[in-house]
Formats: sequence, C-alpha cells, structure tokens
Amino acid sequence: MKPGLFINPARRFSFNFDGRKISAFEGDTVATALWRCGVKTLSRSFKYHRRRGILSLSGADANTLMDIDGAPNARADQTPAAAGMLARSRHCVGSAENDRLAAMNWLSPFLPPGFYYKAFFRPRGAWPLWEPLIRRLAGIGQVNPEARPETIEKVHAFCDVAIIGGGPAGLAAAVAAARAGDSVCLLDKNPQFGGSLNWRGGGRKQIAAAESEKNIRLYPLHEATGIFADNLIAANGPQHSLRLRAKKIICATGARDTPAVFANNDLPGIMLISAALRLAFLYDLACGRRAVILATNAADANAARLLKNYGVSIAAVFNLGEKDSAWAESLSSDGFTVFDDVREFSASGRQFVSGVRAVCGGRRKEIACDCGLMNGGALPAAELPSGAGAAAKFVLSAGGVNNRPAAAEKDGEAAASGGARPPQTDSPANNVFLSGGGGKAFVDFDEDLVLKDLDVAIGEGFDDVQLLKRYTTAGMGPSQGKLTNMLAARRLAKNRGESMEDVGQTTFRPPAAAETLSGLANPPRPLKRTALDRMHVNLAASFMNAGVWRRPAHYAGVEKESLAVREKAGIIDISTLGKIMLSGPDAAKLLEHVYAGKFAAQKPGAVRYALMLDESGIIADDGVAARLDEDRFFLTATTGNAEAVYRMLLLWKARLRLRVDLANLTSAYAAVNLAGPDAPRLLAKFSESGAELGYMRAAEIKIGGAPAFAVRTGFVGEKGFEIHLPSGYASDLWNALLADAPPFGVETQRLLRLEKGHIIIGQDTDGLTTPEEADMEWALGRDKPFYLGKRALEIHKKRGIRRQLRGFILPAHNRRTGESDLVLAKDGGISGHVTSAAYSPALGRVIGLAFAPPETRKTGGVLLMRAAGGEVMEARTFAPPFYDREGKRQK
Amino acid sequence: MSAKFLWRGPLAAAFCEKTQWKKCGDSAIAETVPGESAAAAKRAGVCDLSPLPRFGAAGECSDSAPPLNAAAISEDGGIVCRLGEDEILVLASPAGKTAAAKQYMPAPRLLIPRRDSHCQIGVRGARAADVLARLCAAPPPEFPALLQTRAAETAALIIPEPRIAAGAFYILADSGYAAHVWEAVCETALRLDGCIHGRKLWAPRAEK
Repeated sequence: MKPGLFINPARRFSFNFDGRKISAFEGDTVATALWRCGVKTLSRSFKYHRRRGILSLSGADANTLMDIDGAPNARADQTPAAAGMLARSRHCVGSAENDRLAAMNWLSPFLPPGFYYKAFFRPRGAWPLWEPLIRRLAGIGQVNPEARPETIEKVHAFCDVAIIGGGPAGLAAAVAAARAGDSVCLLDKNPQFGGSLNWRGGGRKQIAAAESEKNIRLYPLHEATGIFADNLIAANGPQHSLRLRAKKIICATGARDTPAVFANNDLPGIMLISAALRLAFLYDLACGRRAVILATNAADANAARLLKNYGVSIAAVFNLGEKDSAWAESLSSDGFTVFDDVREFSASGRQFVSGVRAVCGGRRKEIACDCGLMNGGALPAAELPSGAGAAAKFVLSAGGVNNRPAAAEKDGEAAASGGARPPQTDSPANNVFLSGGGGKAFVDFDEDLVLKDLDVAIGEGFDDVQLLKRYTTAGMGPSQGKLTNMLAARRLAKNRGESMEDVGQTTFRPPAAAETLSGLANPPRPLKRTALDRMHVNLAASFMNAGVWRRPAHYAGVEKESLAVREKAGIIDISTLGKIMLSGPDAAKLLEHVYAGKFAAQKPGAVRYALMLDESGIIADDGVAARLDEDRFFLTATTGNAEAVYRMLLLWKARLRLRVDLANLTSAYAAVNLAGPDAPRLLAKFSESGAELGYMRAAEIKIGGAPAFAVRTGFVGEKGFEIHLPSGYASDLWNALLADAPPFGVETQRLLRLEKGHIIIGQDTDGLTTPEEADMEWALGRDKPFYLGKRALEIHKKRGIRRQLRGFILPAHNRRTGESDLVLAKDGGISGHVTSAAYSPALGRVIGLAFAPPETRKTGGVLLMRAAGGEVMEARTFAPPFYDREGKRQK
Repeated sequence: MSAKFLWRGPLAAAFCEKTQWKKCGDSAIAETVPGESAAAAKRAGVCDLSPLPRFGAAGECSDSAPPLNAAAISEDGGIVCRLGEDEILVLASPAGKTAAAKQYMPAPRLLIPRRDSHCQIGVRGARAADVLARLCAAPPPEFPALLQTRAAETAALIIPEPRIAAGAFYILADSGYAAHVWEAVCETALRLDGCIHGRKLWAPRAEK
C-alpha cells in the first residue's frame, strides 16, 4: 500500500499549538501534524499530570483531547488540521511540554480510587475548603464563556439498509445489499472508505465496487454516535448532524486493539499497533525508528511486517498470545526476534519511551527503542449495538475477533442477506497484565486508573463489575471505556477466579462518540410575525415577544401613544388574537359547554364576553364571541392560548358529537383595533358600514373591497373597532388608517386596559386563579346547568378564597411600577403580589392590580408592598375602573 | 371611500425591487427574479407561489375524493388534498383554476381561507429531496401521498407536484412563519447550488 492515503503533501499550511507554530499537510489531523513536527506530548493526564501522546489514533482514547478553536475537548486525532487553527493542550498549567503541576505524579499515594470519599473530610468542616481546589483541578476542558450560540444543521436521510463502518465487512455488506435491490447508506468516520484494507491492501477494488452501485449513498466523515428507537442512527458529519432512518442496520465497525497493562505503558511513543499502522499508511508518518511490539495474534504479526517494510526497525516482538503459535514461528523464520512466555515487562523513559525491560522464559531482556506498540487483544467496537440494547456474548472458543479481511467480507455479505456470525468479544492475550518495573501500569488512561487501583477496589469489596466501574470510574472518562471496560472485567475475573461470562460486562450508552451541544440543539424556535410586521419595522417599533408572536411594544413611547388614543384615535395590530370560526347548528351548544357565559340566546350581531375555565374551575382563557347568524360564531382567544382553545373546542366537539365545523383563522385573518373617540368617524372614511355599530355589536363588512368582521368593543376604554380581515389585505388597511390614527403598541394597550381595570389572562391570573379571586363572577352563567369548571367552582365556593385581585393607587410622588412586587400581611409575611402596575398619564399616578387578602377593603384599604430591593411602600386600594368610571367613553 | 385593497402574500416583502411581477387575480406574483437561472432551478429551485388561489373546505367528501393524506389532480389541473375525514385543501392550477375541486366535495359546509393562513413555497429540481432532508425529519412523499409534518421547526404540509419531471413539491406553512420558512428553504437551496426563481420557471409540464 502507498503510505499517506489521507494527506496531500503538496498543500501545506500552519496552525498554532500551545504558542508554537505547527506546519501540516492537507488531510492531517491536529495530532498527526503535531507528530510530524516532533511534538509527542499532546496533553497531560487527568489526575497525575503525566505526559500523554498518541494511543489509538482513532478517537478511542482521551489522550488527544484539547481545546481547538474554542471547542473544549476536541479529539485532536479526529479533528482535521486547518490553517490558522488555535489548539491548546489541557490538564496543564503552562503547556503540555512544561506543566507546572507535573509534581502531581508524586502525590499518587494520596489519591487512590474514591479518595474524595475518604480524605479531606477531617478535621470536620475541612471539605468545603478542599472542594473548590479539587473541582478546579478535576475539570475536563474549559467552556469558552465568549462562545456564541450556534446550531449545526440537521440532515435527514432514509434507506433500506444502513451500514455503519466502511471497512471490508461494511463494503461487502453494502455491495451485497445494493445488488439485492436495497437502497443503502454506508457511513464511515474516516475521509476515505476501506478501514483496515487501507494498510492491508485490496481496498481500492472494494471501494470502487461500492462507488459504482447506484443504490449506495456513501457518507465519508460521518461518525455514528447512537442507534435509537425505530432504527434511527445519529451521526456527526462535516458541518452537520445526520439523522438516518433505515429498515435494517448493519454494524460493521470492526475490531479495536486494546492496551497491554505494564509499568509506564502511558509514556509518549507507546501506542496501539493499529495506531502505528494508521500513522504510516494514512499519514505517511513513522511511529519511531526502532520499535518493540507486544503482539497477540496473526494480525499483529502482519503489522510487524508492514511496519518493517515501511521502514521501522522492529527490535523485538513479544508474544502475549499462545506460546509457539504459528504466527510467532512464522515471524521468527522471517528474521524477526520473537520472545515467548513473557512474565514481566516494563517501559522506561523520561519524556518518551526509550527502552523496555522484560523477563521472558526466565531470562531478563533490556531493549532500547523509541517506540512501543501493543495489543492486548482485539475487541469488537460494539458500543453502538450495545448502546441500542444488544448484549455481547463471550465466545472465546470460536477463535476471537475476526482479523482476516476475507472472512470479514463474508461476514458482511452474510449480514446483508440476514444472517451473520454472532458477535464475539475477546481475543485475549494470555496475560495482558504484566508485572515488573516500578512505574504505574495504566488500565484506564482517561481516568489515570492504574492496575493497583483496581486490585485495591476489588479487595475492598467492590467486586461486582458495576460497582467496580462506579467506584474506580473505570470506563467513565471521555472515551467511555472503549479501551478499558474489557481490561477491568478481565482483571475482576482474574482476581475472583471466575470466567468472563460469570463476571459480565457494563453497558455502553449513547453517544458512542463525542457530541457537541450545537449538534444536539435545534435552532431557536422562530417567532410568528403578523402580516403587518413589515409595517412595524418601517415605523421603528420596539418589539417584544408575546407567546409565539413578535409584537410591537411601542413606537413613540407609551405616554404619548396612550394620550393619542384617549384624545383622538390610535391603531394597534391585534392579529395575534386567536380567531376561531364556529359554523353549524350546534355552534352555540359547543360554546355553552366550553365557556362559562351564556350564548344560546345571543342574538345575531351581538357580541359577548367569553370566559373559559378548566375542569378545576381555574380561569383558562377569555375572548369575545360574536354571533354572525344563527349558526355561525366568530370567537376570539388570547394571543398565548389560541391553539389550546382551538384544541379544546375540537375535543368537546368530538366528545359531544356536535354538528359544528371549526376553522382556526388565527393566521388567516389579521386584525387591527381602531380605538379612540374619533374611531367611528375614521372607520366611516374607509367602509360604508360598521361605523354605526353599537357597543358589543359585530357585523360582516367590506373595507377597501375586502371582506371583514367589525367587532365593536372597548378593551382600552374608548370606542373601539376590531377589524378582522384576510391577512393579505392587512397592510393596505393599516396604511389607510395610519394617516389619521397613530399606532400604539402592546405596552400602551396594557396601560390603557389597566386604567379600565380589565385583566389580562396569564398576567393578572395564574394557574390557580378562580373567577371569584379575579372578581369575574359576573362573567359566569349562574343559571346554566353545566359549563366546564362549574362543579369545581361550587367546591371552591364552599372552601372560600385566600386572595382576591384588588386595584391600587400609589401616592403621587411614587412612580415606581414594580410588577411582581410583594404584598405584605400585617405580620410582615407575604400575602400576595402585584400582577400589573403602570404609570397612568391620564391620572398622574401609578395604578395597578395585586392579589391581596380577601378581607382587604376594595376601596380605601391599605396595601403594604415590598419592592425587589426591600423598599416598603404603602398603597391605597381602589376598585377599578380607574378611568371613566361610568364607562361612557367606550360605548 | 378608499381605493380597493390589494392582496399581498406573506412573502411579498422578501423580493427586491428588480423582481418582475405579474397580475394574479387580486394580487401579483413574482414572475421573474433577478439572478434566477434555469440550470440552477433544475438543481434546486425555490419559488413563492403564495399568491396563487387555494382554499380549504369542510364537508362531506365524495367517493372520488382521494384517501386521507393523499392528493389528486382535478380536471382543471388543481391539486385536491385530503387532510381529514371531512376536510380538503385545494391548490389552484398554475392558471389559477380551482372550480373542478367540487367533484371531490360537492357541498362544502365551511370554506377556510388557506391562501391567507398559509404560504405556498414550491421547491423543484434534482436536489429537491436534499432540500427537504435538511428541513424535515420525514421521508419525501411520492405523489399521491402527502405529508402533514414539521419542517424548519414549524408545522407544514408537503405536497408533491407530479407534473415536474425532476421532482418537485410544495411546502405550505403557517403564514406567520412564512418569512422564517422561506429563509430556511432558500438558504438550503442556495447551498445546494440552486436559486430563487419566479413563477415562469415553475410551471408544471401539463400547463405548458
């Protein structure tokens, strides 16, 4: 195979790592570019701040985690290098090369597993002093507080067969499925397909076969992170997140080398055998000049040959597998130095590995090297099926994991046709735990967990595989035990003298690979915009969110706008109101059932206030119902509850089997409220009818030639015409009215209605407010035999109420308008809160509504109110309306 | 009295001054859009068809009506969609015809102004399905099937247009979200080397 499959040496660029300029080839990952520049220490370890370098080069370990361009915990061996990139090592004070906390390595006797459960608690009260320091040292990566919110695009795909892994088995499965007529999606996390074929040879032909199949869609650079219900695969792609749904899923994720456990097995320069092959054949990089190999099987022997051919001198091969196995003998006959019966093994070196010591067959060996390659046994990369609920089974007698591409192809073809070899979990070294040497022998590189820690924990009684994991945190680091879980289980089996089947395994859970929050997050939910939104923008409105809508809060200021409405006229966009048409002989019956008021006897053309309660007697919504003719009602609902009201009506229509059709016209109809003493005169300029409508009357009119409903109300306390018309005509209506009536916004409307004492559902009520508490009993149809919530109201009535909505006025000098200020009881306790408060220019006082004890006098009582800052104010209660108490202006 | 009001679609403001408009009933439709190209439209073309007539109706469906969540081409070239047991949606033919929909619901009880409640966005081209895949989690429907689903974070109807060879569909979304959906669809199509174009490049083959 030609080395350097993934890189293009003709295109070079540079980036920055820990303040150092690093040059890279196109196709390099950050980790390989660093290796190319001689940087072998990529990070420091979690607890002991030991040097860490390339281990798996496949994203299966945390050694290469670093902050890259502000993204914490990016895997440098999976992140493509890019020009100008800024990379920083982690777990160090200073840099990975010069870490001022390197001395932590010598504190290990004080940091056994679960040390935080055992130490730092004495003397009593000491833990709070230690905790901040420990937490600061224990963090993995740093979130960038300057980061801007972002989401990654979500792409959906669908197929008959989804295959995860584009190695020999995956490619063969894809071709077989496609030829059987299935649509196939083939995912691989690498930029090119082929997997191990990329160093073993034969990949080009298989890849070409897959590429030539029309039914196969290839997804390179897509790393599956989980398999979920109904065969949904989540995968990280370049610049997007893929959600793939398939009728059938084949996991062809292959096998992974695992570390051997010996003293100083974490020294930079010691890596998995497969990592060395990736370095050479994917990136054209030598793992070192002189290597020592700890091999387990024939595939490892083949790797030794490949690396020798590449130019790496193989100083020795130590056989961790069966003694006198055929592959070992074959290596010997090819001139390799092979040692069997390895009893002790350790590595040495200050910054990088410089040699190994071993005892083999009773003889001591010392070999100088600059690179140690290891495989403690190949293990299926089974995180995805395991995370989806599949159980792996130990079938050691079957010969372990398949390491032969030809057999993998057969497995792939068999999987495509519905049958496959059962998954197998281990092809172990005879003894992967090698004693000797004085250094730390790491089982879990993520968590700095050494063999001694496992033995201590098992000895302390944490001798169940689940307990052992949680107590020692083995497999709980960023790589989630991909290299560790089996080692921990094997050690437990050995110490307990049981088989692996008896010991069992822990469960992988998704995500199998790192997810970014931006990959999980959906874009912000969009806000609905009315048909007049562009008009509001042109008028430089200040916007606010109201439920799912964007609405103008005000244009020229609340005071100016409110005075314009009181003196002449103003217009407000009320398109956000829920608008529901009920049509059919049972329309009134449906309203009678769902709303608390009376509608059966309502005359055509009349408008009635409509109060909706839920079944527990709580105020749910309000609006008005205009009877257009015997069988048709035009109903409005509050901005926030339009959909809920529509659903409620649909529900009761179906339950009661009523002959009524419902249409939700909320988006179909825009609406403008023309309010003020001049409103009738202005409406008459644009419409032949409607201006003569009396208070609480409605009519179907034509305005500008467009059909419309005119509803005469007085929500803001002046003569008001709600003009509802198809949204496509709204902008012409708005522009026509604007010449004589300036716009006013939601904040102004809130003030105007407050002056009239009209409540807003959701602001002046909460999820527990009954009509009696809100002083709304006048809206109930008392003699109706039934309406939603009626029975519950009877119970509420018997119990009595604990609070009631009261109007209040602040003294003239006080202009504080603190909604949600607290109402205090005589003993200083909290007895209520302010729901609405605003300065009224018409009255020259701050007015408001507040929940207060029911015994508080409606007018003339004293309310003590505490502001957020602690200031206590005295207000006088005043029974609304505050303005136009006779109600003459609105009629 | 004031002059007659003009009907303006929810996306009318999305077009620049150089757009050429053509009268479409009581409204106007973007006929050609600056920067449009037939080649790009064949890859991923996006077109605002909101000014075309369409309406909903509630009532009893005839036996010839399509089944639930399916559509049919009416005699005058409109598309009639069955959205519920007693609810249909009628999309006019590009020539604006809807009358033949009566064959599917002879006596509607209630008409629903769907031209005002929903925008209508056409997406066509070889990569139309890829555009949808970036906006919607459901697989693209094949005519006569239609989808009542979510696209671009909001409720949407996806209706295939079988008369455009390379693949095309309509997205109908709440007019309150029209600007958001339009932006999402256009951004996606442009990333796939498509373009925004006028109605002239849209017309289904049957109408030519």
